[in-house]
Amino acid sequence: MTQDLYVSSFPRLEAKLPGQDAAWLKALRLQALERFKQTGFPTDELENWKYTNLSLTLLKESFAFETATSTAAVATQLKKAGFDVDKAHLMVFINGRFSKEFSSLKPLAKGITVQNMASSLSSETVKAFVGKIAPSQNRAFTALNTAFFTDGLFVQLEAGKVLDAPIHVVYLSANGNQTTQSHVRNLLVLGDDSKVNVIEHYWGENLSAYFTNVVTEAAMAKGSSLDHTKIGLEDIKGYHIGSLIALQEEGSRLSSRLFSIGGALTRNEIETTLSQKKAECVLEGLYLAKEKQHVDTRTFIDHLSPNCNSHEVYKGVADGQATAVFDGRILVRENAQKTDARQSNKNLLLTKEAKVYSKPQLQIYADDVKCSHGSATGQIDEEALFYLQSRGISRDEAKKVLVYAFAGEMVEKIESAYLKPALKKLVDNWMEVH
Amino acid sequence: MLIIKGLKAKVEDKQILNGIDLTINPGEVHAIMGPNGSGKSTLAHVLSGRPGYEITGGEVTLDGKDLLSLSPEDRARAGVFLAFQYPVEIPGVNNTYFLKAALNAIRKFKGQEELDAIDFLELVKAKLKPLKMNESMLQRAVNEGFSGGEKKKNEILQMAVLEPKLGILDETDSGLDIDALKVVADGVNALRGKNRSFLIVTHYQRLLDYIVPDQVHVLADGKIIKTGGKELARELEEKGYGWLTGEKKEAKV
Amino acid sequence: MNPKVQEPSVEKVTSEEYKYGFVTDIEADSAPPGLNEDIIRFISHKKKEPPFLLEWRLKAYRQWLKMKTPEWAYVQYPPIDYQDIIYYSAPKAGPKSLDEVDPEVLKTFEKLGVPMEERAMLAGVAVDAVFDSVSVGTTFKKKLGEMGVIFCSFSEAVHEHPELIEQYLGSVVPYNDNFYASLNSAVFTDGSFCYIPKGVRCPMELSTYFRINAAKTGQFERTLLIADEDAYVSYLEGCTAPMRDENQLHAAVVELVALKGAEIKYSTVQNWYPGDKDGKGGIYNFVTKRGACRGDHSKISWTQVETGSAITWKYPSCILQGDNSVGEFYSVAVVNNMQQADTGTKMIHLGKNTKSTIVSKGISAGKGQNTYRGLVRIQPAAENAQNYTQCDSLLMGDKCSAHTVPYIEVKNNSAKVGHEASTSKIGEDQIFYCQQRGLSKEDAVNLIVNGFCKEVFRKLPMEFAVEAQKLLSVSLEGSVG
Repeated sequence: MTQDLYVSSFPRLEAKLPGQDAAWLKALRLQALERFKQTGFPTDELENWKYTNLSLTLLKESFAFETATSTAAVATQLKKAGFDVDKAHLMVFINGRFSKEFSSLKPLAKGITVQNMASSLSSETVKAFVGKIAPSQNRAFTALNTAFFTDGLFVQLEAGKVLDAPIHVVYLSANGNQTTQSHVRNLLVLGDDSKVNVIEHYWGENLSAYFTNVVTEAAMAKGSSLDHTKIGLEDIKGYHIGSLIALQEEGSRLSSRLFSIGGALTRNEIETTLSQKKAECVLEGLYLAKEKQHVDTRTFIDHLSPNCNSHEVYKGVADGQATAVFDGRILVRENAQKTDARQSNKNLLLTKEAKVYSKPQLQIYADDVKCSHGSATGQIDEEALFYLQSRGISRDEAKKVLVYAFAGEMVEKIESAYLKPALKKLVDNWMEVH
Repeated sequence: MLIIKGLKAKVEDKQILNGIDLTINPGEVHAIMGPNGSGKSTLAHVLSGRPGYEITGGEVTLDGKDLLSLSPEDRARAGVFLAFQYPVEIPGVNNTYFLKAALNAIRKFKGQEELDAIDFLELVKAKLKPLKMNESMLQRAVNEGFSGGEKKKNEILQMAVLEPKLGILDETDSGLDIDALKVVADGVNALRGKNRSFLIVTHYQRLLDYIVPDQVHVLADGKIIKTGGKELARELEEKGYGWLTGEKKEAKV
Repeated sequence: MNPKVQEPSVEKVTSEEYKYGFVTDIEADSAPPGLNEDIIRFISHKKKEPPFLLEWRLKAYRQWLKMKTPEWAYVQYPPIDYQDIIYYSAPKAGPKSLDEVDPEVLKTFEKLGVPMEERAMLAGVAVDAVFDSVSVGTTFKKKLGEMGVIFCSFSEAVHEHPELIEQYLGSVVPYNDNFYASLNSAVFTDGSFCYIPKGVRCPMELSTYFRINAAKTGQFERTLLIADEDAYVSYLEGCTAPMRDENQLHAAVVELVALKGAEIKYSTVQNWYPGDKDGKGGIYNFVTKRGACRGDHSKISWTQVETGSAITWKYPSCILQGDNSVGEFYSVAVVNNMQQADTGTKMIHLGKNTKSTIVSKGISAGKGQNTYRGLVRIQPAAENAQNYTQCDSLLMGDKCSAHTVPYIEVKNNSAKVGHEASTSKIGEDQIFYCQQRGLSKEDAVNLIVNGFCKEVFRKLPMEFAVEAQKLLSVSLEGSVG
């Protein structure tokens, strides 16, 4: 996977991508490619990629561009996983392309749009927002995504609209023996006081390596509320690079939770700009890593405006020879008085070989603020283990109980009746199997 | 000792005090009561020099000297003490150290010798007992982790140490149970003397059963609308404020 | 809505004339400005150094030529012209005793508060005073000598104890460690050397005063402190510098070695000229300080109060090699006006059962920019390592900033690593509360700031704690806390 390969393949591939009639998109893709040419792939000399060296992993692989579709009984699998799929709007993408066959949307009220991106390219809204919230300057993978994306989710809610049932979007990578890659672009546009619940669910069934590159842009108008969940269950040979970039207006509320469980290498970037007063964001995450997995989570909250609150809790468990990286940056700008920003990062290491790199950062330019962060790393408490053992529980069982207690906190926090049982099952399974 | 003439003040462009006239002679205890929003706390804050209040008219003198032109610390050194309704916490600053610094600042101003750590500790320990306060409170940071009652007691302790001429109690009774109330009242009563006056701002009559006032004033819409003896407080408890303010509101007791 | 409280300490600090701003005019035997191998040979020759040292300098210089100025710190300054600096400046003749010291120089020390008279002996503090690039006089050498303690200028140590220099120089901060360390290794002129023999507990606190004088003279001190097995030493470092228009570079290197069971306490009170209200002038303080806890059960503590310099870039660090070794870092850093500081510490845990504690208090005022940058690295073999880090920032005014950038790298799961950081300001209601109790606004601010820094001040040796408080432009009664 080299920069040249992407650059040289672009003309040929672009011609087959959706949006051939959309001049704006063609121009955007071209611009993105130029930007990608400027930066190339990131090396670990870049501060932001210090702990995630792609040259030994992702960049050594090669992924085919063309992909075949696949059959997959998605709904059944979801039900098995504990999702009451009938209660949700289900959108399925296979290898980066929308699959009408496996999707099933419930009736939508007027003023609410849930479509696949490829069918929405003539929408003025899409044109207005794509590439504006997540520009491709200095972001190699965003640039790559913009240039090559095949499809994705487009959601728009007009002012005052509330969508009660969650939108459950599945991005399945299934390609048999072929290595494959998919570039997926999602856009969520929330009008004033609207409310929606979106679940991005990634998993893979592959016998060979594959690469998923996703960018989700979210524009949140005054008073809107976005409840966002990302479940990363890529196959053990999958590489996942994803970002959620949000722009929040006055009084809006973003609640985003990330569960990183699968993938050989996962890198998630979550960024939000609290551009007007009284905006709020709650970012939570749990990673469960084992064997040789590498999980890298970075967040960036930009307090541009006064009276905004942000609250972050990221926890994780690293087993085997896994490596976990957390980089959380909070920027409080000069005018952002009365900011309340709190961040907590907790890591549990189960083995000697597991590694954690944590870099919580505060950049404060305003003085009437309350900002704090904390980072703690350690292992299972021996005292607690012994206590359980003294009550008759085997050491292994006791370990599981304690690890679950640690990780489970992030599941307990979930309020959605749709999500909770399935995620509980997921975390339970991880404990059992490993 | 304290003469207030036609005092007018506003907060955030809202006129709160509309002409207060009040005279407190040495040794007297005056109570200020009134419905919510009448300006009781504002009066207490304006007298202590709290920032955020704009004086739009009138004058205040303490022992013949203009009070309103003085900075808060100069008013304190002149003998004004405000027992806050919500005492603030100051982490990292030791309670004893803070009090010693304050006392010595006042003593220095008066031309008196400053106390050293040992003498001061003796002084303050003696004042703890009648307030039923634990010595451990001396080791803690100012008001940090103090319960509501402890904070109020700490205010009275400070007053006992600093020995002001005029003690202003801003709703000191709010949030206190009966026992704490009695202890606080005893503390205040122990400080009564012919050279010390008190201005007690309170919403409820109960405190005045323990700290018996010489005069009771009712404040409404930023003006004193009635003055009476201690019986006035009882009357208010029974009838509420409505009969005075002319509205048909039940006073909350 | 309460109006903004005027921050009095800010005004006080800026209006107080930097009281150490004076210059001594002495005939200096200086090198021409510029840097090349000849200048280095000149320096080495002037100091009559043995060949191994000249070789080391040249190695460092050649390495430096290949390196680039680091640019990752949150500090901004115009590029430094290294050819525009004089690398060697010294008064004419080397004095053999205090009597021979140039009276002007002694007067300077007088003003600095470094009494070289009997008073100093009574106070029980041995002083090694560095005047520009050459050490002038060292007292109490004899007394310390009786205990076997060597405390002298670096230059002297090169002559009297070359084997120690050869063994330890560059062993903690190698000549190629970083850009400024390499520069220092090439052109250092003097500094302090200290060796405490086995089992000796140094009875008095050792201290050093520095001074940058002649224009365009960068100061490149080199300090090496070795505590042999079970030894103990407490070392104080405090420096001042005169007002100058051009920025002056200060790129020092301090190496500490603690062998088995030894303990080194290194305290610094730094008030280099910070530049004027508009950021003009002021010292650039780019220092590499590192301590190696070589032996088991050894301990190194860094305590510092930094209020000066236009730009500060330093990370006193500990390499915890020995099992059960302990590293500590206690710091108060103040930035005001246009000062910038990017400072912190590195604790590298290598041995077993190692412990490190980091308490960093940053105070930002005026348009100052204060960044804490720390690294806690637990290597795979570091069983049962423990670290606790607390970084707090206090902001005074809304034009300043405070940043926290900790790097936490854990490669051994038996480690317990905890990090907390918080940012706050002094509340108007806290100030008013103090005022209502009779304290002036200044006193109130000082009280609160002192409470904020308490934990760090407690770690300073008594004399320094006093100077430290003054440096925060506070005049508090009584002792700390």
